[in-house]
Amino acid sequence: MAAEATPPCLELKGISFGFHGRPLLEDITLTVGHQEIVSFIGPNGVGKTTLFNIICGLAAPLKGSVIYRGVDITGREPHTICRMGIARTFQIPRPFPQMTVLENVLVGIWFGAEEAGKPDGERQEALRLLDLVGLRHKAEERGRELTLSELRRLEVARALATKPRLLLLDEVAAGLSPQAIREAVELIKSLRDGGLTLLIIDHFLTLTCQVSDRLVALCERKMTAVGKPAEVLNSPEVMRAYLGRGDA
Amino acid sequence: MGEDKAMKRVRTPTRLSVALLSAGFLLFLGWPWLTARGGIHCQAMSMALFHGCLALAWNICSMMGAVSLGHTAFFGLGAYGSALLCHYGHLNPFLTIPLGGILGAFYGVLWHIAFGKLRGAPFALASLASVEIPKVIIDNWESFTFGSLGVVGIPPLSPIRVGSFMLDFGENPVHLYHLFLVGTLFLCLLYRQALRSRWGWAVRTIREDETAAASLGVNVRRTRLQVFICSAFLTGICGGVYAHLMGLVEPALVFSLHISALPLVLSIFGGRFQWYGPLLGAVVLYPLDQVVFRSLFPVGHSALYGFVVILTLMLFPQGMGAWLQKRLHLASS
Ligand SMILES: Nc1ncnc2c1ncn2[C@@H]1O[C@H](COP(=O)(O)OP(=O)(O)OP(=O)(O)O)[C@@H](O)[C@H]1O
Ligand SMILES: [Mg+2]
Repeated sequence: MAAEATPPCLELKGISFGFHGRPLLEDITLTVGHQEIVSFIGPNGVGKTTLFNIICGLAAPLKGSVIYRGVDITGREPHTICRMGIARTFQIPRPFPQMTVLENVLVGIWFGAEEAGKPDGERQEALRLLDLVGLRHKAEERGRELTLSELRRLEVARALATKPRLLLLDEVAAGLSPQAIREAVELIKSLRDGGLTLLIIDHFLTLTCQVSDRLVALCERKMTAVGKPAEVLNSPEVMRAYLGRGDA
Repeated sequence: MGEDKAMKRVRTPTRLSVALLSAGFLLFLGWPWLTARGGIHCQAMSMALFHGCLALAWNICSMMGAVSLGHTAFFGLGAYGSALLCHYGHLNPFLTIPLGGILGAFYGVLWHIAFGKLRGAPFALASLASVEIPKVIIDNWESFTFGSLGVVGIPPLSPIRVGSFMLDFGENPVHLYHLFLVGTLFLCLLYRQALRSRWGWAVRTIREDETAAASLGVNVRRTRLQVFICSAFLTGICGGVYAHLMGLVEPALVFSLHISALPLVLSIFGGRFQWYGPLLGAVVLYPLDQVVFRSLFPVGHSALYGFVVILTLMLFPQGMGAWLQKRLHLASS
């Protein structure tokens, strides 16, 4: 067993997707290695969030397959995929509004992780995660009482609670202050050092340029450029897309 | 510091709420002796407890966010299942009632298969429509179900001998009352424990945000199925008990909008987010209607329920339970 080469963390093979017969993504193919940080950029509505939905089982691709650590997970249910080790945050946060922040995180610990800790350890673990994202002082507040940027941090804590090996972050940095972005960069780097692989969507390029190993530019259904952040940002296709449309 | 605050939330019952609960329990235990034994007040409270169970069963679905208007389908199937098994098989009602519940649960599985994908108002309408299927079948299968004439002569709950003491539920309203009291307490404790378990958390996450729940590892489909089965089974059992209380069942009696709506009214009034809410609603509202309003307005007393729902939704949208809980917290802290 050990002699075999370990499969990459994630492989997307020829993914195509569309809404109501209108194609949105065509032939997305990408291989992500372990502990790699890959960011997706592209104009509004190009399908970045949809690609995340496909990876974590909330949408089924029309063609192609999603391979996670050598296992084909295309079309599996979201909860199964979560328990296999893929967690995601939502661009528009989806807290459990009536539950406290702590309980929100506990749900991730209870249901997402393959084996849960001791009843007491769970609470400590949840508080530790809240500490990590700077929300510990809000532990007793209800989900509906948080501000948008707090909700984004809750999304991260909750996703981490499921003990993922692959984490998908959808626009967690939107609207953060420069100080908060520096903290987010530190957090992402330490998560990667802890063994996590990350996919990041970042519309404003604030996070991505600083932490990404690779950048993927999506434009009009296709991947137009893949590579080191500086190369991709300077490629003619991306220049045209970003300058031409006035995004970001 | 944050830790202390978080740890405090492991709820310890306050002295006040323990005192209230014990007082309530003693009141209910002694109710038949406080009122004329076995008189109308005792019977009204028996039926209040019965409707409390019905409301609890309904509220399991509501805890998950599925507001159903069709629970009378399970009720009717439970009632007919138990009545026909007694009629043809001459079995003991205490055996046929759970079998009726299983028939209800089976219909709950069909719900899940047929319209498990629907949510919100479309779900409520589909559940309402689903009542017609068993009703029409039972109405027309005269050779087996006696059609719209109904099944008559259903035996009452059979007596149980405890030592030298005879518990005769059919003859003695006080015994029946205590049977219902024990049944209700048992169901209530079970419900409370279920809601506090992981399973209960899964049920609530589905109500609050199903997509988020699924992405955090909650098996939404399986939990929904389990909820339908439990809720339908318990409602079917209530239907079975009802058949043996009344001694007869007719399609129009056990498949009626009234039976679908009453648990909804009682739960909304009592508080559908607290485990004790549905029971609270039942023991307050049902006797109020039957004893007070019925004597004042013999014809229009049921309109009370309509008013109560509208008023509760406007004044305490979370129900009495949530309102009371807040008062208790303030009083004890
Ligand atoms: N359920 C749906 N039905 C139909 N069209 C949809 C649906 N969800 C999204 N779309 C459309 O698909 C396109 C891609 O949406 P998506 O959210 O993936 O874009 P995005 O790249 O994440 O954009 P943004 O930068 O705004 O987050 C959009 O044009 C959107 O309107
Ligand atoms: Mg998006």
